[in-house]
Amino acid sequence: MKLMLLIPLTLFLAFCGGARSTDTRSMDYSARIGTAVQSGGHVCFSINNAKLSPKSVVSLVTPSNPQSVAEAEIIGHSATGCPGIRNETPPQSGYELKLVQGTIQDFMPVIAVSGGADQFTSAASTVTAHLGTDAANASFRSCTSSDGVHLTVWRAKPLQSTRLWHQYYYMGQDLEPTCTEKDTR
Amino acid sequence: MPTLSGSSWVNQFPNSSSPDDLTEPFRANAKNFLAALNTAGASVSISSTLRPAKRAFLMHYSYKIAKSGLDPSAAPAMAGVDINWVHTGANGKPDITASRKAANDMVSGYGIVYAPALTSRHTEGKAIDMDISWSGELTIAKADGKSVTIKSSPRTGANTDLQTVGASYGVHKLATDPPHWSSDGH
Repeated sequence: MKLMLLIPLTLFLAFCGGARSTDTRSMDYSARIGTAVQSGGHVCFSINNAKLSPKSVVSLVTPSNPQSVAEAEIIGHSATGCPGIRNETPPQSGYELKLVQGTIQDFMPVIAVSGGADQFTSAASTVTAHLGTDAANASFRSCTSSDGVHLTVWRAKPLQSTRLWHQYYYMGQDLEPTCTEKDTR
Repeated sequence: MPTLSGSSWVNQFPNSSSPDDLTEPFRANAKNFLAALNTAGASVSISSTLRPAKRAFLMHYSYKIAKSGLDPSAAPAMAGVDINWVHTGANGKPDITASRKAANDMVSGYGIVYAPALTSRHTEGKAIDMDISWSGELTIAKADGKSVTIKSSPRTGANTDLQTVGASYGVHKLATDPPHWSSDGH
């Protein structure tokens, strides 16, 4: 009789554990991760989060090789955000950033993660991040499609693990496509 | 007399955002689709239509010389683009450093950070990049004149029902690039 009760209970707990794990996997990173671009001495930042305060620290990950991390802080809100973030539903919030450590390349969209550079590890030109217990070795990737760039963050290895975050950035130029279906879907 | 490569080339052969610069029959197809969108009350913002092949040639080879190690003397010629990629030193011999710097000035001027394609539907005048949005339901005419009412989301060019309407006009969506529509979906 006890065994009869134990089996359903075990199955129930396993289901709950699985459900919790799935919930964590589908965690929405869009309020924590956005896109930044430097041009003309300014750094724009677009993200699905209207509540970031001036002086908040943002880490800027260059996802193309060699990968690197720079650190910036929010100067204030911007009415326009980054020009290549277009027609998003819901619209993203725009900020202006000031680089405080490191550099990023002009015109190259980078992945902007709320928080300081201490959540990142760099080794062999590759950056990983501890984005939480369920994404302790998150990785970063960019690839090109016909007119823009697909920026992605992955739970572990790019293209081989769960994609945690994705953003298309319109470049307005004809590019040699490098993306796979896993990048763009 | 060819003009040496350098930033003075960047403003030549400018891109267009006018549907008038597309090539037929895509021009008429795109204009008909745009008219239907306008009549339906959708908001449309066009970013790009024709990107001249000559501009694409300059972008492609300036990047190859500056970033990919192409020998400037190995860059091919293009009719109507009288450019000399090979700078020379005081001794009259090719100056590879000056040649790469001039190419890099062009790369910076164009704002290039990723390898540019040499040809595309844009260089052929068969593509249009546009942001489309609307609120509520969108009642829009297909090419055969029959109207459809789109109730689904998102209310943007990513809407597959709208993409079906676009296809009826011969204006096809490229899935990987949200603003991009073309004659064949490429």
